[in-house]
Amino acid sequence: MLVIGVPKARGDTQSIEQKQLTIDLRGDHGFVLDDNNGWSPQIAGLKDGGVYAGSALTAGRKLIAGDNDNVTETMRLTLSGGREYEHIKALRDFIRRTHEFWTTDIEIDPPQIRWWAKGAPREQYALIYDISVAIDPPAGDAIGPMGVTLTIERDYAWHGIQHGSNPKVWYFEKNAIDYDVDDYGLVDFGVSVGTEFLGYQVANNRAAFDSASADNFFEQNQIIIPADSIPGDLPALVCLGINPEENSNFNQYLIGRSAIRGNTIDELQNLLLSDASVVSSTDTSAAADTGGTYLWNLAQYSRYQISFATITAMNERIVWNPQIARGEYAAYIRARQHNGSAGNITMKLSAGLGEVDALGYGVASESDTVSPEVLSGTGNTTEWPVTYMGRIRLPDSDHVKMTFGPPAGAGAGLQTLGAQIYLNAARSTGSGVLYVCDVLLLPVSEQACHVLSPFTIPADSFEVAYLLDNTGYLTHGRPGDQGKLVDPNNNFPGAAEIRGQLPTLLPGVDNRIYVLGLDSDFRSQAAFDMTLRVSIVPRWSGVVDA
Amino acid sequence: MPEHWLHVYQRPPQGNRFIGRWRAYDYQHRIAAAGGFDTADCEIAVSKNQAERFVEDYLGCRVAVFVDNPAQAIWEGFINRVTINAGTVVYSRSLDKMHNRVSGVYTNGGGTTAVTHLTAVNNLTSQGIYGIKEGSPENRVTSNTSTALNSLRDRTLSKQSYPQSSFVFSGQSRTPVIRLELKGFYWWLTWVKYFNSSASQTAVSSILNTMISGYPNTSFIDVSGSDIQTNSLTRHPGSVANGNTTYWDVVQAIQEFGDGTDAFVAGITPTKQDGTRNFYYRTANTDVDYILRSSDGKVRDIFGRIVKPWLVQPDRVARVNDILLGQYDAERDPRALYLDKVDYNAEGFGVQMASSDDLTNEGAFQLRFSYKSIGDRFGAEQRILA
Repeated sequence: MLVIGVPKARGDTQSIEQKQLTIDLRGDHGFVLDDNNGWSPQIAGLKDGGVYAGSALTAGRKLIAGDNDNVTETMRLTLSGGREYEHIKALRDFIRRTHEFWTTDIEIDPPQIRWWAKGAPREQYALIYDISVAIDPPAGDAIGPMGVTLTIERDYAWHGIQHGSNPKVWYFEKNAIDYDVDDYGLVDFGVSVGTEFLGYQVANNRAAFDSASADNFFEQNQIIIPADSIPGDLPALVCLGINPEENSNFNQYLIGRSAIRGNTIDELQNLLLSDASVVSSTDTSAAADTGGTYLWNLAQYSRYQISFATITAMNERIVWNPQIARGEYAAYIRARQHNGSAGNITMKLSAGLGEVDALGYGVASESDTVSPEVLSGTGNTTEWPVTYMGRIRLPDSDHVKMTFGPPAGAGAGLQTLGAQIYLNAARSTGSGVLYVCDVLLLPVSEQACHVLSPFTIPADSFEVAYLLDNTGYLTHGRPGDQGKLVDPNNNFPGAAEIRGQLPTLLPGVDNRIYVLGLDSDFRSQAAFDMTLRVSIVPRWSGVVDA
Repeated sequence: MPEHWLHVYQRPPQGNRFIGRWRAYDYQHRIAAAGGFDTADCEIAVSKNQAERFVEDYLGCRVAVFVDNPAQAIWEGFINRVTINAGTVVYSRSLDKMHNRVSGVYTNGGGTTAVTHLTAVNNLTSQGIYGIKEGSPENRVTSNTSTALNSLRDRTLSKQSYPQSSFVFSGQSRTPVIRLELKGFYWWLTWVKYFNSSASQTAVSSILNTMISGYPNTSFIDVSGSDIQTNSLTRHPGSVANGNTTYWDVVQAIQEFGDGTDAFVAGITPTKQDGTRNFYYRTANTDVDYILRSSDGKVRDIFGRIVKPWLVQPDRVARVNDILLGQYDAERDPRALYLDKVDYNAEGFGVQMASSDDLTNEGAFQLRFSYKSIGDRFGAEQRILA
């Protein structure tokens, strides 16, 4: 079936969605698709075959870049049953609207193919980019059965629901949940929209390990979507709603997605804590708690202060032994300089595998050298400036995860010495004390983005949410990332800026989305929480199987 | 290949707000040791209405290009030209011939009077939109009075206060597309002229400090001069800033002197978290930051990690590690090359790096130097330095 339109929300009697145009290719409108030879669904290949590196002087060639191309489908139909030219007119109207959807701002209803394959559990939809028709009319001027060939260029992915639909529909349909328009809410505006989401998590703007077990978080800034929640064979599209806690003033977020095969990912860190396992070095000690309510297990997880007794060169100050996956990361530090002038203190991260000695041997990567923001105040604090430190890389290897210890026994595998990340810092002039909360590692080799809005969030902010969507719901079926600051009174018009790309979820593996909230001054209050709500639209390159 | 996204923001005199982002196709950029972000261009796929919006509203807007790292743009600058290919016509509009401040210089007929500067005239409305972009009348008139030149000045202002357009019938049908030509931040320093007639020998870093603090487009860059490194080499300002020189001409001349030992570079920093940009002047980076191998075409960092082509930067030394094995001379290592510029092309997934020995780039560099070398390969005329 060919479809133009977005379905109304179930039970919505005031919907302004237009009536959908549908053309059934299986008989109701006169078109009959030849069951045997009419259509063989195609699978997308690499666009232009991909980009390869190769030379006559080396063996073979290597694929270095490539992405999916559109798919061209050819359908052979017979049109009969009288009223043939009315059906042709409807088809031509469909073609015109398809072209207008992509070339003008007038047509907003997405053109799609709807296909329910034999034996498949449900229907699936693909966006149409172009469509043309060739007609083989009957001889002479007779009106009668005629051959019709449709050539359709479609998106490479089949979606589990109709384009432009509210992504929660997938979750309701898949789990046979009775729903109507009152269940479509994606963020909370003081009226709970419940926990009927594929993913629902009250996340913290900080992380801390359970003191009883170093592998488990009891505070975390992430939501884990397990593998069995993500069907399909292509990355699933995501709608992420973020409701920050009242008075947090968050108007921007750093978001990363990590999906590691072959291991559980519960313990993988993205926030490097100044915790008890950290080895502290010269001039480094736990920061005194000045009495704020920070909700950490402060007995174990203090923040650190580096007092710089003397003006010295860049020395190692804090060492982390994180559980972290290989890859490339954008590193941010939550740290501040107490007293002194900007530039008195400089910081640099270095990373490596195994032991990194005082001379720096074993270092695999270094970040930029940056200075922290001067924000005076002793001890722990609610407000931490966030400073971007540059990229660090953990080496490519056969390891899927770096552990912080040797294998359990002989022959336990390839994972031996783990990753170590160092904060090096120096005070080169003047005065100043450096306070360090933690380091955030955003996986740019997987997916990472920074969403920000120019609006300052009012103090009473619990009704202001971010809605980040790449399912096409906010764009009425057009593909692409969209981010909006939303509130029940629509006080924040316009789109948020998205740097990078909103996350997708890889099928068949556990995925983790982690989030760090900041205010408009690039300061992050660690004490606050965020409610994360995840809905997905799974995708397939072939027949849907879930 | 990761997607390249062009983010468009308001023109600096109008604010710093995000406007929108578009996927950039056929993207390429150049970054130079002298200046930083230099030029870039790309195509974007938009509807006819959106294309018209670019022509009408987005010339002069600040842009940033992001790839895989949301924390760091790979290139930044502003939209200098918008070209629309539509069927058989090519329509183009740019800032190149826009001058919303017009000045000029003249001498009297007998040549006995020193150079006189015309009073500059301004179109304040245009400056409020685009910033100050200064020009001089095309013809320099030698006259005893300024009357004729003033007329020329006023005419220039009236005709060129706003972006200029061109319209060409191409004679062949083209696929409708919009092409953006972008320029880096340092080009803003070519927009305004600078004059300092002082004959006192002054440290060149002080000359720069004084000059930058007076840069009139204060919404474009931070004029505090906090990133100007001290250089005690002296010149007298009048020798480098004669009134028909732009701010960048002065920077370039001073930069080329170095400090007698080290080379210096100057430019505008990327936009910081707080939305500001600084003018910088500092010694060139002569650390080996990149490793090359003659056996493959990849750029690596000193830890052996492949540097993605869109991240390769100039103003650092690249060393070819697998030639001349066993030879090392700290002063004249033949394996090391200082990168003057890098050109990145997204479609080709590659980067080209140029150093001073690159013959294909020598012509371009000579044309852009203030003090051109005298030699066989280019043959510039000898100049007398004041």
